[in-house]
Parts: sequence; C-alpha cells; structure tokens
Amino acid sequence: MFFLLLLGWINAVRAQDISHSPGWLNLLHYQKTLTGFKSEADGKGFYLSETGKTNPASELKETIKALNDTQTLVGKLKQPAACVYTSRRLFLERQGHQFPKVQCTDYENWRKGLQIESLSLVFASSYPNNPASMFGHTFLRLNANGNNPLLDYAVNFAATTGADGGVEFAFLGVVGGYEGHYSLAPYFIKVNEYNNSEARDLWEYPLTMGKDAIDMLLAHLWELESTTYFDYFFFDENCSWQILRLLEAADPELKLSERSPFYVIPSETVRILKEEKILQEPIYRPSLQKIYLETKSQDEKKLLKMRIQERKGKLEDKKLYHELLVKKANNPVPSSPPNISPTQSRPDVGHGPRRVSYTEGGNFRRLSGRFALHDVLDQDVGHDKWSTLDVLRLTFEHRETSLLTRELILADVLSLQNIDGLGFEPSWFLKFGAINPREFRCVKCLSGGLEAGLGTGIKTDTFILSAFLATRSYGMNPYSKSYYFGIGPRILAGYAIGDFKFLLDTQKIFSETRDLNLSGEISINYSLRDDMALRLNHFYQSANKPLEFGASLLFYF
Amino acid sequence: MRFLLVAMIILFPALSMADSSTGCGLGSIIWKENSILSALFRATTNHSFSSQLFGITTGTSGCSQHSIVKRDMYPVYYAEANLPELRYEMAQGQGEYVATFAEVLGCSPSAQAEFATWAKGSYSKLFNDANATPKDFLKGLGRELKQTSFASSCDNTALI
Repeated sequence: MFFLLLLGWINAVRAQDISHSPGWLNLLHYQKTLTGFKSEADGKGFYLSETGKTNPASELKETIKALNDTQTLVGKLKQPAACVYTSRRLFLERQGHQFPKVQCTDYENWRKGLQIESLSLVFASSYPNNPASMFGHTFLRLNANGNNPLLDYAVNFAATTGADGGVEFAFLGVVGGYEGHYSLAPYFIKVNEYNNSEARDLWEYPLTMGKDAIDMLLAHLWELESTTYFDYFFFDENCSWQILRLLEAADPELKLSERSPFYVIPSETVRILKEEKILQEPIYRPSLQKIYLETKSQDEKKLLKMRIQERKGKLEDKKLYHELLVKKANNPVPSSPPNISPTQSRPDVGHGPRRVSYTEGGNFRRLSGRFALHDVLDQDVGHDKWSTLDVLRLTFEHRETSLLTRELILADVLSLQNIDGLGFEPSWFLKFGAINPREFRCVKCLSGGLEAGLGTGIKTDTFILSAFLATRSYGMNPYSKSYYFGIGPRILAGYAIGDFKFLLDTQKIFSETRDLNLSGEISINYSLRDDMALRLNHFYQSANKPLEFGASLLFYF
Repeated sequence: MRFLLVAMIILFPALSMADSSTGCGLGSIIWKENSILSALFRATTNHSFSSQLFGITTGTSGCSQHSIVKRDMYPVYYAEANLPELRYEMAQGQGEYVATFAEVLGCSPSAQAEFATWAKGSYSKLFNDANATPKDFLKGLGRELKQTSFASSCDNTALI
C-alpha cells in the first residue's frame, strides 16, 4: 500500500517535472507571464485540457490520457489523438512513456514523402520600393537528399487572408485579425516569387540541426496544422518569430526567442541563429533583376528584361521574345552569367537594427535612440544600399538650460531607385511623427507633421544623385493660426568609399506663410566597427541664422 | 505601439503589399490560366482542407494538387509552374530549372546531362509558337522526347 502511494507520488513529481521542462513548454508554445504561463496557440483544438492554454501540467495529464485512447477521433482530420498530437507523442516516447500502437496512415505517408536530411533558413531580402518588405522575410527549407534544391520544400508561416487585400489586410494584419498558418510549397515556387518576379535576393543558410530535431520539427508541423493556428501579427508574432519558436520546439536546447525581447525583425532571425552557432555559410541566389543589371551583353540584357516581364505576366511582344529565344537556341555558345559578389548584402553581417547616439554641438547636445533599422548614412554592409527605414526614433536635446524633445519619428523612409531601363520606378521619401521644423526657427516648436516627396535619380553602390519634389505639412504654424504647408525641390547627393559615407542634402521650400530658405546639410559618417560609428553633421541656412555643427557617436545593437 | 503602427499602415497602403504567399498561393500563380490541364486537376477535387500543409500532402485541396508521395503528376505541375524559366533555360541549353525538370521527368543522371543540350537543339520544335501554353509545350515535349535515344531512361514521362 505504502509502496503504491510512493509510486503514485513519484509519477506525479515526474509529470510535474516534465510539464515544466523546456521541451514540453516549447511544444505547447507557452510563454512565461507574470503569474505563470500562457500559450500562443489560438485554435481551441490544440488543447486537450480545459485549462490547457495556461496550465502546462494539466495539459500534460490530459495529453497522456488522450494518447492512451485509441477510439476517440479528434482534430481537423478526425483521427485518434496519437495521429494528431504527433510531436507530443514523440516527446513523451523519448521521455520513456509508452502508448498503444495506432496506425496513422495519413501522417506516415506524409512523412514518407518528406525524406528530409537537413534544414536551411532562407532569408529573402527586401522588395525594392515596398516598405512592408524592407525588413525582409524568413522561411525554412526542408532539404531532401537530392541534387536539385528547387524540388525541396519551403515551410512558410503566413497569414491566411482569403481574397481581400489593401488597407483592410494591413489593418487586420497588425491587430491579429488573421489566422497564421504554416504551409509547404516546393522551393521553386518561392524562387519564382522572390527571385524572378519580385527582384528579391535569397540567402540560404544551412542549419546544423540533427535528425532528432528534424523528426520533431516535422511531427510538430503536422500537429500544429491538424489542430490550431496562431493569430497573425505583422510586428510581433510574425513569420520570423514563429520560425524561431518552431526551431525551439524542434530542439529545446536552443534559446532563441528569449534573445529578442521586443519582436523579431527577419534579419535578426539570421543574427540570432548565428549567435546560437547553428548557422553555416550561406548560398546566395541573386535576383533575376540583379543578374540583368550585372549582365554586360546588350542582346542578353534585352532577353533577360523580357524574361522578367514574362514571369510578371507583363510581356507585351511575345512574338519578338520568341524569335530572340529561337535565335539564342541556334547560337551554339551559351551566354555566361555575370559573377555577382554576395558579400555586401549578407543579412548576418553589418550593424544591428537598434541604435543610440550622442551628439555634441557646442551650444547643444542630443541623445537619440532608434528602434530599427537603417538610415542612408549608416554603413550599408548587410543592408539595402542607400536606403532609410527608421521606425521609432526619439531625440532629446539639451540647449542652454532647457531639456526638450527634438523629435519623435514614427517612420522615416527613403527609397531610391536607379533609372535602369526595367520600367520606371520613382524614388520617394516619407517621414512622419512629431517634428521640429527648420522653417519655424524655434527650438520648442514640436509639431505633428508629414514630409513626403517623389523623384528620380541615379543610384550605384558608391554614388547617388536624386532630385525630388518635396512637401512639408505640419499641424501647427507659429506664424498663423492654421497648419503649415510648403513645397519645393530637394536634392540628395551621396558618395561612399570604404568605411566613409558623404551626403549632401539640400532643399528650398515655398510656403504661404514662411519659406524655408535654401538650406542644406552636409554629413560624413565613418563606420569604426560594426557596432560603432562617428558622424559629423553640418547644417546651413542661407538666412542670417548661425550655422549648426554637431559631432555624434553612434552605437548599434 | 501597435496603434501607431496601425496608423502608419493606414496612411501608407503600399505597406499592405506584405508577403503575399497566402491562401492558395500556388493557385494564384498556376491556375489563373484556365487551361485544360488545370481543369483536369480541379476535377479530382472532392473535398478541401483549409490547410496547405495537407493540401500538398493528400492532393485534395484544389490549390496545390501535386502530391509529395505520388510523383506521376509532377512533370505537368512543374512545367506549368515554371514555364517562363524553362523557356529561357532551354534556349540557353543549361540551367537549374531545366536540370531539375530532367530529374522530375525521372531521367537517369546521364540522361539528365543530355536533356538540356537536346532541349536547346530541339528548341523551335518544343516551342513552335510564341503563344504556346503549358499544354502545347508538354504535348510537343512528349512527341519530341519519344524520338530521342535517352527517353527510355526517363521513367516519369507517361503523362505527357
């Protein structure tokens, strides 16, 4: 009697122990909260216990009970629990539990079709001129033991949105109005989409994850899609977050999600996995557009341009394209593709997304922080060249005896395009938030505002020259009782050499109330290390206003 | 924080062009053309799951009708999904897509090497019309392939 009690007690302790092990917590997608745990899975079918969403121990108890029941049918496919909760079963079996054998034909066929030898993390760079993609995108690739990776499968986490699009899509995406699901697609579908159609480069990083982890990952994918979904949030529970959580579920030794306390930017996924040392040297797949740009032969360029148009469904002269291809086929010498050096834009190198800086300007000093990601003067290695995508930038200024907020920028975007003959894409910029407009000449005039413009220009790796028609709108106007609106030309010129970047930014603004005289800013950025830079900034205005000069030290992390 | 981001997105509809690989991702690329082939695929649909994970597995979702397990339909599926790439690489006589196509057709490694060179040589027969649909292409491919010496070592060409 005493012995039985003791055994029961030991079992209970053991179950308690397992239920709070990283392996179990990760499989159930629990996150620590102030009072305990809460799972991120949102589909009801995921939980076997009434309190499962917040109670790991109770969920474990009910899972063991369900796995012993071969009769009750559950999940989207109406199958015994052993064929639905496949990763929990695998986890518990590895812990020494034994369950009655059940034939899981669907699952086993699916697994047989996926003879996976290894995993890769794939990073898709930003899509030119599309700010939503500027952070990039990440997904996994399941590598079979074949020579042709195009036939491997991509595991993508995305919102299932149905047919609607536009603003509603964006809105619901942010507030979690869509179900996020994992999906499998042949890798060629992804390469066609990103590389060939959208002009995005792909980086394939092989992961050093073993067979046990791969088995668990596949079992877990099956379980998730058989039972649940995740509310999709663009900015926190996004693709990159879910990929990290999936890898943690596959291998509980990995500590990934805790490395990123706020949310995960896709390029950060790459950095986090690199820090965890499970990333190998990447294979680079330049986009078709990049190949087009680097190709020297004019005949070949013409063909590539039409190939891109065909992939986009925008090819007009099909007959000409056909004739050129027949001519190419009749030419016994194939064209040799250009050599494209991958080192400059690798997402695992370069500066981190967050930045703090201190500026000394003689009669003022500033402290500034940025949440993400890159600005036009930051060292371009690992980032989109000559671009700005700053989200949340806050600057305080100390001047004479007062401390004030200089700016609170929600978004600051600069997207420069080169005139490259692939169809006209405009360059543009947009900045909004609380701004202290130069034209007000008043240090305390902080106003909600929007600065935006359209233009065009030349962009190479080392040089930019762009002209814009710029507008500036502010909610308040110290010169009249209404809002402020101004419009005028803006010219940007930049030059990059080694660790130095030079930028001249000059503009003139006309307005009903008060013009911004011809003004400009000359800046030099010197990148000392990946995580540190020195910046000199010289602002001038043709009116009788003193020049402003500042020297800044910037830290990235 | 989230409110600000919502505001930002509403102000800026271009943001909504986030990753579009959602829903019937393949469907939107492949099945847009209302070809006989796609109709053939759709005809086999009897019920559908919401999930693309199973759709691909069991070939019943109506979106992604190829099967991980059954490879016999794969050449058709592959050619339809990758026609622009095949068109170009076959004229070039080399490339990843055309090499992979030979694998999909079940060609032995030696025949795979021959396939791309052969495709370049037979280009104007394989693509004899500027407006050739995937179906036309596959028909021509089946016809031309039969006359080659290496076709016998490509064992997945029954359907084309």
